Amino acid sequence: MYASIVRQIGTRCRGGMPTAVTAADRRRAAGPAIRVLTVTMLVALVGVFCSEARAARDEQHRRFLVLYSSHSVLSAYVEATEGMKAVFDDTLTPEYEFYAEYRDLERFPGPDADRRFIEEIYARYTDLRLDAIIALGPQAIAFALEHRDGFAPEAPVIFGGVTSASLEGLDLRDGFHGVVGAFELAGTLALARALQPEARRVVVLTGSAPFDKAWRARAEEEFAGVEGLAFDYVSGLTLQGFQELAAGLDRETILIVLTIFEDASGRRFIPGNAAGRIAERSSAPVYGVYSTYVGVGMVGGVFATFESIGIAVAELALRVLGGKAGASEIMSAPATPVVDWRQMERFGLDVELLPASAQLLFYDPTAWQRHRLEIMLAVGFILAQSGMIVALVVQDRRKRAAETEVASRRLELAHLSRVAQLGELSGAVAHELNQPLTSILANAEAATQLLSRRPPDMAEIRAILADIAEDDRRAARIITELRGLMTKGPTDFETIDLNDVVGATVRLARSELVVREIHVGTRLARGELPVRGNKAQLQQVLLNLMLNAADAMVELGPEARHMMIETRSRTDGWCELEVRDNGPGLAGELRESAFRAFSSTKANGLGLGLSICRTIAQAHGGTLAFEESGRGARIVLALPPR
Amino acid sequence: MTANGDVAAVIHVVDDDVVVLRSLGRLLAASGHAHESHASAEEFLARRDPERAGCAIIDLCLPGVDGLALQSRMAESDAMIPVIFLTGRGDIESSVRAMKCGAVDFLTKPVAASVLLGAIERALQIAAATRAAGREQATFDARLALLTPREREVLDGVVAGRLNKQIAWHLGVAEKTVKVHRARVMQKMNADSVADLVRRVVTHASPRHWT
Repeated sequence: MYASIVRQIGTRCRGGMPTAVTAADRRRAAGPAIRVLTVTMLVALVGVFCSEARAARDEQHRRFLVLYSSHSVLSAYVEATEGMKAVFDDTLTPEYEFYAEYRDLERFPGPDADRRFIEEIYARYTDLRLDAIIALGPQAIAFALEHRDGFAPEAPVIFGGVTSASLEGLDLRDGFHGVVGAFELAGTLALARALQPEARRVVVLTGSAPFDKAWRARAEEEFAGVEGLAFDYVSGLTLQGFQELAAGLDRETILIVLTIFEDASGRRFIPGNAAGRIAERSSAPVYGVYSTYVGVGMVGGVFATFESIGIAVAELALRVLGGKAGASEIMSAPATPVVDWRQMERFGLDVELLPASAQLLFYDPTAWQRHRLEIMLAVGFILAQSGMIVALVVQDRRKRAAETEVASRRLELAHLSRVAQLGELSGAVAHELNQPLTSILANAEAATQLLSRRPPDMAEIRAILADIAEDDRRAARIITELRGLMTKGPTDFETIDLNDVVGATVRLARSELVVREIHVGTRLARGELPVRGNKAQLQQVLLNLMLNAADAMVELGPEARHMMIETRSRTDGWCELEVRDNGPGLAGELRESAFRAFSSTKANGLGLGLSICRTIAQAHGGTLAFEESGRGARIVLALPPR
Repeated sequence: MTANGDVAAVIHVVDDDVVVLRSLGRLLAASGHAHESHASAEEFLARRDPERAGCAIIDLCLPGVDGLALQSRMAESDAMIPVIFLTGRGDIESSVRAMKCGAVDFLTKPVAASVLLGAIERALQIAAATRAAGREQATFDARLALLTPREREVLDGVVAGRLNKQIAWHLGVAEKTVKVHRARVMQKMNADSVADLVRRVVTHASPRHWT
């Protein structure tokens, strides 16, 4: 798969360095750095074991001198050397010798430095029988032409890394072979068509200089036979005119920029710069035939790469050594499609459409392309986790809804149980209400009779009316308290006096307890005992505890039926309400099970009372539990500080 | 003082609620009744004068000794006065029990003055009748105590419907002796006739007189 290769190579080329990638890389796993190292080591080894190698030499043992125009770390030379080595490694057995020399006039200029270089070459290679000299770059070719006869007159020279323009004026005599760079118009168009299969129109831009005009003429000639595409040749515009034209094109058009040395206004340009300025504005992908256009905004084109030059040079050298070449064979460098990956991205061109031999420059794969598996795993994990979170949230919502439901049901149950309890107390309640009513009626009738006397006892009548009013208020108080107990609805918590709760509840149950012949004693904490709570609910709890205590003492004689209600505040700020009775008490295991719903020791009990009481206690943040006592049962309601 | 020499009947009110006590007291006073208020059954038992005629209005629901228990205690102590129960609860069970124990009436609170006063009137009549009956009995008992053992034996024979000669034979005395004893019995018992004598004995005599 192509994509997988791109990915593999991409991981080797970090840091955004322009890096060439080809399908040939498939065969070589080692990175460029390793390859450079290998070459260097090889050269060193060859130097060290030079004499031995010479002695052991046979017919198949080839010895090459590679002359480079420039210095050794130039990537062009590294790539070219790679290409040569690949060919020699595959072809020459068992081994070959490879000498490398760098003329490097840029860094060591002047006749003295060059003279020392020349002397060194003579000194080293005059006695060494070289099979061939490979010259890369114009300076190296010039050197070979001038000095080859001096130190290795029989060695053929194979050159590369030049264009035909560089060769002009050079005396290429017999024994000089070479690979010359060429311009691949047709190949570039083929690349463009491969990347833009939907394109129907080609626009070709050329400048106004004679050289530019020559390019236009050549393009018109080469593209004459191409079918399925309409060609527009545009020249005679200023650079701005070219830019506007390019900006107005659509994405389906192929824009080929040849050379613009000079525009219609007479301004002169370096063609690469001009091409770059057009490409940066262009709405259509830009192609060209010069490798210098790569990296300035052009999508790509077909050129000879240094690696392909290296390969071609090595193959030519082998042909020359094998006697299969002519006296002086000059061939064109094989061109390769080269594209700028960033521009591919810019125009949304599909990498999959590239020919297998294409070189991808500036390849910077996205995180997705680099780590697809990891990202997919991470996304999968995150999705799973999110799913889980959503599920948990939903579950939590449901749980809360259920809890709310349960709470509201409990509230309802507490209310119903309270109403039921009041029903149980109806006799007592009626008694409490009837007392003031009795008094009112008797007072009123007494007053009526007093009024019929002559003279009526006005002081007594006034006292009677005051008593009537007081009794009426008393009745109203009782009704208010009853309403509080009967009312359903939101249970508002407020600050209430626990002693007040005891007072109101004992009042309400008094007549019931009298009827049951139960003596109720209270021992209340001095002053107020403020707690945060709902009075009706706390009254309900106390009423329940009192009735339980009363039930527990039913078997005793009336004299022994004593119940004690006590309130107190603890040192930690909590308030306690305790109800004690003289009944049989609860065995250890019953003290807890008594709080379970539907657990009752009474014949007619539902067994909800204590369960509801504990729920109420917990809703107040408090506790309700039986505690150890010498005789009877002792139950304590503890409430947190306000 | 009434015609038969008694102090005016007193009406006892027993209720643990002072407000009710006060209002009922006013009503009774306004209606011309003497009354005494008691906050509990114990207080009532301790303070009342058993000799004085009257009746009691008792709240059923009293702390400590409740109304019904109070009623039974009075019955036990032989110092029974008619009782009117008042209740604010109005449950059937206690009213049935109260009536079985001989309550004059069972009234629910709040009670109308006419109803209460009517009940008090009835109770006082019963009280008066009871006291009259009590007095008759006391006279009878006193007269009976005057008889000698022989005269008692003769009285038993007369009440049993025996003839003089049957009594004489039974006692082993002469018929004439029986006649003398019989005349003395009639005189001591203040009986107008034999029929009157028998009625008095049957009405007032209890088995304990004859053991």
